Amino acid sequence: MADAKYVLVVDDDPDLVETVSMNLEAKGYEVGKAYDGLEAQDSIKSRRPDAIVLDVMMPRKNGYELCEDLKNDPQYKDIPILMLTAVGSAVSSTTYTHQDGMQLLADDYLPKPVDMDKLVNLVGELIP
Amino acid sequence: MSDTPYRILVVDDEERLRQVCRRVLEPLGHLVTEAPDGRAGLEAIGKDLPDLVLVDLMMPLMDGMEFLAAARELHPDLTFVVITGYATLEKAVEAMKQGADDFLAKPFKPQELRLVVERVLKRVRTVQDMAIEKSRTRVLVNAMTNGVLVVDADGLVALMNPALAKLTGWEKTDAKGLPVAQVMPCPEVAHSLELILSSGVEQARPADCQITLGSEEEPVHLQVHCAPFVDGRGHLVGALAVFDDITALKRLDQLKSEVVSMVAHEIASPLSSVLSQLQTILKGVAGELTDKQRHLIERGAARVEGIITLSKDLLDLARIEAGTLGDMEMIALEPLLKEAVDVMAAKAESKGQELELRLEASLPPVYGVGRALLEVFTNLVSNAVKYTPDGGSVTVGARPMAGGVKIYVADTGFGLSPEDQERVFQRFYRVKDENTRHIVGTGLGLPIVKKVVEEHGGTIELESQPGQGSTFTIKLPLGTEKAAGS
Repeated sequence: MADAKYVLVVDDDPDLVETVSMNLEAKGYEVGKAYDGLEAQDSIKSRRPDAIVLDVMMPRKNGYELCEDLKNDPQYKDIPILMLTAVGSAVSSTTYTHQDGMQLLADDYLPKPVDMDKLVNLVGELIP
Repeated sequence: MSDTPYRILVVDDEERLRQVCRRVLEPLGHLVTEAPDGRAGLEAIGKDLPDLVLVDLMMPLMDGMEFLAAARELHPDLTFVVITGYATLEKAVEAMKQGADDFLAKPFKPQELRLVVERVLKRVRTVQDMAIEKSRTRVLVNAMTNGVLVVDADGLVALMNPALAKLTGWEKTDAKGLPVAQVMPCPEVAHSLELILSSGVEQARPADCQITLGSEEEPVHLQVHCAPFVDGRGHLVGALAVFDDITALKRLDQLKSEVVSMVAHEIASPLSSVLSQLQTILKGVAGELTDKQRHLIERGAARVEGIITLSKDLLDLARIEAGTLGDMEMIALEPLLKEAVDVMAAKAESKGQELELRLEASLPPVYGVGRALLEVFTNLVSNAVKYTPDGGSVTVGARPMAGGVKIYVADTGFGLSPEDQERVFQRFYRVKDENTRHIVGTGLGLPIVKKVVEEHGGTIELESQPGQGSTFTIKLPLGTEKAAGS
């Protein structure tokens, strides 16, 4: 597939990155991997993804910070972001609740533990 | 006769009379000391500390009346019997006015002296007992680490012990006679005490409240118990408040919640990756599975999911206990109910159950935390589906009622015995029988549901028949922003 869509998966848990990648690749996506916010930033600069699957809690630069940076950057603000929120977190795809006054900028949210079918479907919906 | 001897001072210028007194009183076990005149008598009082003074009214230098007046002033609690030579009523009355406790007319028989002394000593004993009791109470109240505040019937401070002065930062010497509001910044306590005083002895009820004093950085949390003060004749003479410092408890509770949150999170995070891995295997992404492999991995995934749910529940509980449920806002219930039903639709279908949402009329909004309420509904619907056998039915309904909204989740499931009905809202309680053996659960779902409903000012009730099914009914008050103060 020459024009396979390219998805960047960012999470500090390598097992989860691997699992998410396997599921996306099984659906024909090309997958890039990054393990913290800064790595993701570099990766995005070197190759622009069609969508980003982004964890919230990560060392160096967390998901909220990276999301805010990207959404405020005219060059990258159109890349859809699917945010993976922590287990038991107040933010999920079904209830967009403001937590700690956090501005919710991502295009969609999925709580952990990640339902892989939902993830694959949401990524498909987010990519135009 | 009492065990400890009483000290009796005889003040009389006539030596013969002093001798008579000594002869009569010493055999009774009393210690008798003598003074020949008023001045010597005053000195003797200071030195011998008598319990009782017998004093002749007619003496040179300082007469009995003068002596009585001077001695009374120096020793207000001392007991006096005057001995008067001319037994007129006026003289006796005058002496009594000066503070004498009894009198004896000269000449007297030994038996008369004995009688008078014994009668007076009986009173001395009572007065001394009361003094001891009073000082005991004072020492007790002052030594207590709990703060104690007593107000009189007008709500003015009658007593404030040192512990309370320390807790409230009261530095002036005496708070007596001041209004409560002037002494401490605790409107809740002042209000509770006022309420007790204004309700009268029949209606006055003890009341508890919690207040926070101290600085922002170092808050002091106090549990305050207010109670009516009723005297021996049943009259409401005031009210009292006992202050218990529960700061350490609160701090411990907070630490406990923090530790629970941390542990729960550390367990749930890696396990959520494990669950995703198992799911991925089940989907066949990593190759085809045999039926046995599939069965084992499905069971494994269910168990892992159970632990993650437990962690989530613990996080929820910690959040509720910390009072950080979330910000309250006006919430429409229909979308939440619909979502709770949708989430469980696949599971119900796989069990061949009929899962129906019955909204009979449009519902008024409630003031609450949407996420928490969704959790409540999801929890109840999920329970209903889990604890109802294949082919059963689950009905979720809601309708407006006077002053609020009524929401019910009814199933045709296993039902609960009366004993279990009482206990299902307790933490970690799970009904264990042949029906529920394979159902993964935490025992925290219903306790959380109850807590969240109560935080919203609502109630939850359970009706159930074993073998017939269960119905959980939630009543939530109508949403007004004002109603949501707490």
